[in-house]
Amino acid sequence: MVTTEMTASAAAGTEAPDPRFFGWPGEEQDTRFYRKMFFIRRFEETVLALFEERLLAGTTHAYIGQEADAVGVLEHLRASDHVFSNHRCHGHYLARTGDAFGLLAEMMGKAAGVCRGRGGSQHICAAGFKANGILGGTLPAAAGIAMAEQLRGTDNLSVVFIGDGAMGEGVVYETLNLTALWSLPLFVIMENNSWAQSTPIRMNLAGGMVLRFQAFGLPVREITTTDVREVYRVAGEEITMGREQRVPRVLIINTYRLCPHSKNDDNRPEEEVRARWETEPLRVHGARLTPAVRATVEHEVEAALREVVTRARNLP
Amino acid sequence: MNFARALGATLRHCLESDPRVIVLGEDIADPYGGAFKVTRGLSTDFPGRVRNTPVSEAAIVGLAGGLALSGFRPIVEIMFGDFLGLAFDQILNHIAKFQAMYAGQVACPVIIRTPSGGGRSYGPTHSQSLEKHFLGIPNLVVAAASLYCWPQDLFDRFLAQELPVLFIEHKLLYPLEMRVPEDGQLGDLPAVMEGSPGFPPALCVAAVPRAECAATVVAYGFAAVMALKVVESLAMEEEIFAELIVPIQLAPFDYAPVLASAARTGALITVEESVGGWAWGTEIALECNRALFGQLRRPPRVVTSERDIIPAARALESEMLINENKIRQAIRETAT
Amino acid sequence: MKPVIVPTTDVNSETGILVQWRAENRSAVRRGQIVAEIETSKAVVEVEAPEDGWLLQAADQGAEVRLQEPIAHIFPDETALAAFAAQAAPRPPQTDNRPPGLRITDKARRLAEQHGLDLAALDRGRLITQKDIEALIAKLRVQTPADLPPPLKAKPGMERVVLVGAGMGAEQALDIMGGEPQRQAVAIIDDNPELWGRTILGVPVIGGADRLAVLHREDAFDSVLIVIGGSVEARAKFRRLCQQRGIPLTGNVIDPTAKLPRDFQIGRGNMICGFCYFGTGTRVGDNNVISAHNSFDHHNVLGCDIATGPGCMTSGRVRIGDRVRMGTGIFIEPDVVIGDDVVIASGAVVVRSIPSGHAVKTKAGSSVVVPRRPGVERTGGQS
Repeated sequence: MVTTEMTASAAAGTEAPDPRFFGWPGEEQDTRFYRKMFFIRRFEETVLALFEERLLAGTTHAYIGQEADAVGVLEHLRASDHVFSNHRCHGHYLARTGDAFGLLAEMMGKAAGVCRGRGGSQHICAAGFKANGILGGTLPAAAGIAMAEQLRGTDNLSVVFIGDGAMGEGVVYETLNLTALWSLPLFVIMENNSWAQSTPIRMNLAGGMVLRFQAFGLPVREITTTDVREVYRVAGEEITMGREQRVPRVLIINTYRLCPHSKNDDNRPEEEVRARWETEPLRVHGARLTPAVRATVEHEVEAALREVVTRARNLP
Repeated sequence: MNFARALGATLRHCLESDPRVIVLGEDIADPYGGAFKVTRGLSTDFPGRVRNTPVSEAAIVGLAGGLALSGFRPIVEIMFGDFLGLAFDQILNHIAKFQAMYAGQVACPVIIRTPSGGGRSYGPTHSQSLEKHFLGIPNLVVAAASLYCWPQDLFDRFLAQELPVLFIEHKLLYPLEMRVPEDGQLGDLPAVMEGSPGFPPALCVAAVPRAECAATVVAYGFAAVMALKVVESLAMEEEIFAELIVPIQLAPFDYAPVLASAARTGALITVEESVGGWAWGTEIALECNRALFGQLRRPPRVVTSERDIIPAARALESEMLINENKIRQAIRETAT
Repeated sequence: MKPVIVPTTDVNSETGILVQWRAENRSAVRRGQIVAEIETSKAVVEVEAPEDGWLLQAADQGAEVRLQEPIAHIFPDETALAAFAAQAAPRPPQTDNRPPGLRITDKARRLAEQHGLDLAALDRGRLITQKDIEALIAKLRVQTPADLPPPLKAKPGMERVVLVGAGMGAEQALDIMGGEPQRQAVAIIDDNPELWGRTILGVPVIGGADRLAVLHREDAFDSVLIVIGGSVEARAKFRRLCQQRGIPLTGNVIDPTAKLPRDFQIGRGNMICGFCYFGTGTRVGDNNVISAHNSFDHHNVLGCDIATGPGCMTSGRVRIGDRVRMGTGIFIEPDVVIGDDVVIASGAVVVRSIPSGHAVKTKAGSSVVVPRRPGVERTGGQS
């Protein structure tokens, strides 16, 4: 039952982002990118640890290894754009809002959580952001939001993040067809991390990934990278195109998830995972900062995160 | 004015009076104007706001969800209620959940309207009454069209609320003339509209004053049309007097008029075209039994179609579906 | 804007039929201009525009309209008219509801017919059930012969006649019958219990139709004369009832001043009042009431259950069907055929044949023929 008290305290969980997570005014872009990615990494690692500690219950799907995607893409968005994410939404949420406290409180099931404890890890809502836990099912709503912008004649974008696993769902193809047919300003980012839960992509998807989008006449770009600068550059081009021409765009980012699908469910070959740690996004981009700057950023993020965790622990 | 025309006029009124309204569906645009011709003329007069979609029930319902999240008021036609299955996830796990799981930050007021029901020999996958499968979804309003209530009143109500609605239109109602009570009368019969605040009122009609009735019959959609005929003929031919209640909203359900009536009559019969077992009437019968335990003369009677597919052959279909005789028999057995 | 409402003086209906629009929809009209014709139970009424302006019709030709409601509106200009038309709700004013007629269950109807009860007296506001009829029978039974006067004793050899209907018709019949050597009115019956116990010209009103059945079983009278004046349907119904029960109609009650031809053929149970004329070759059926100064020219044929007002005049070879009700002062041209169940309003001049089930109405200065609507035309004596 929805009560008026819930509606009145909408967005109870969101606050102004802490600059230690989100970047100081005037900060260099490369520094800010690292800061945000490190923030996401440490948040996810902290959350997994809290699960071990039994402070968090239920399930979650951490974003470790894919931080470059969220940060590189979402850096381009305005407040009036919309982001629809999926079960693995923390990275997208934190890159969009910087709201670590709201998210953590939500996962703890507290009233101070961004959805007052009703949604939990996978069902998050804030201004310009939503996530839902049914694979592929988010696409039609995201397309509808794109259609709303089209009807209003704006150049706002509706951005939707899906994974390779979602490409098994029929509604995804229905929506791609509709999106192409009506030229909806939808930006689809397909984070292909090659593994759908425990199943490698070659056992899930027949035919080609790019071909799937091209079949509908959708313009699709594919990059294979963990470099946030690369993601930022390509996403920027796509977003500019989408905004100027008010047309749908698709970006496939071949990436890798370094953590288990949810918790402790990782039966991928160890060597494969270990190799991927060599080229993970924080390593790639962190090397570009001076050690001093890097240390300062990490120190600030850790401190801020500790405060968030303490505050969250002390919630009634 | 028949029901189809009244519905078409209602959609026109919604499009004219509320700029947020968008109408989507398969084959609804002119010149075809919809499988049942309800939307004829609308796409011509409201270009861009009345659109044909591909045959993708899940996507179009989900898309409507996105439009609703963004402040539009989409009205989606699912061509046959039998196809609701294709959109079930979008209704269950998205549209009906957004407002509650996001703690009220958003609303998702999609109106899904769909022709449903049998009696035209369209066969097993084009004749069903599937609303019963949606009654269990919290935060979804399930309502049924009625000849006895102007659809415009209902749509004004839906557009004023912020809840998703599944609106079931029995296809046999389309060619029938609207019969709305006036001055306390429905034709020859005394009739009133009754309901608790927040619900669309239900029609309460009987051949004799309500205090003299020996049974309460509750029916919606086309079953209500049949039930009314039966109630009238039982009165005239056998002097068995029943009060018929025709609700609009099936879930959440307003029990007040039904309980008030059954408390007086001591007998309850529910009628619906859905297949038997775990039906709409079952819930009403249970609540009646609970609230009026000891005051009912007989166990409540739930009238449904048989629990099987709906065959295409006309004779087989009429054996399987509810009909006036089955309703009459049920009332006879429960009222006396 | 100004509403256009049907002038309701001299009209005793609540609704009428919009026979014809005389001004086009959304056209400019002048004050006093005739915009529509409305048929009521009395006549066809012309409706004028109350002021200059633009007319927006509110009902379709042929529709039934409520006489208290506007049939149209007049606007000062076209813009105002368009604005009003645009915001009017898209639903039609009329529904299926008509004022209730008699609603009666099958069981109740059967029981009522069994007992010969007059259903016209029953309350139309609710469904009549078997219990209601049983209550009515019980109430009537209460007023037993013990309470009510017996029929008059007739001299031996006299035909004893019971008059059906305790109204003006009974008085007229008794006036004509007074002094007849072989026939005597011994009783009057009427289904209005308030009249029981009264006398009309010395003849008592002794009960209702079921009393008649009782008296018939007791062989207390020989024949009946149906003197109900108002409703030809009631006359016909009673005649059928008597026929079913084997109760004979008396011979005819004819005022001595009436002029009849030598070859007159006439049935039974007719009442012919003063100064009537029937030409040669005329034939008359049963159970008709012909008022004074009616003249039926040669070779007229009249059916059964007819009732006429005074001063009606026909030309030769006119045929009048069953259950025809004629007002006062009607003139009918030669060779005209009037069907069954026709109502002719006073003062009509009928120049051509009238099909069954139609009514002849008078418009100021002319007559209009329209199909009858059941229950609408009052066939009562007063106009």
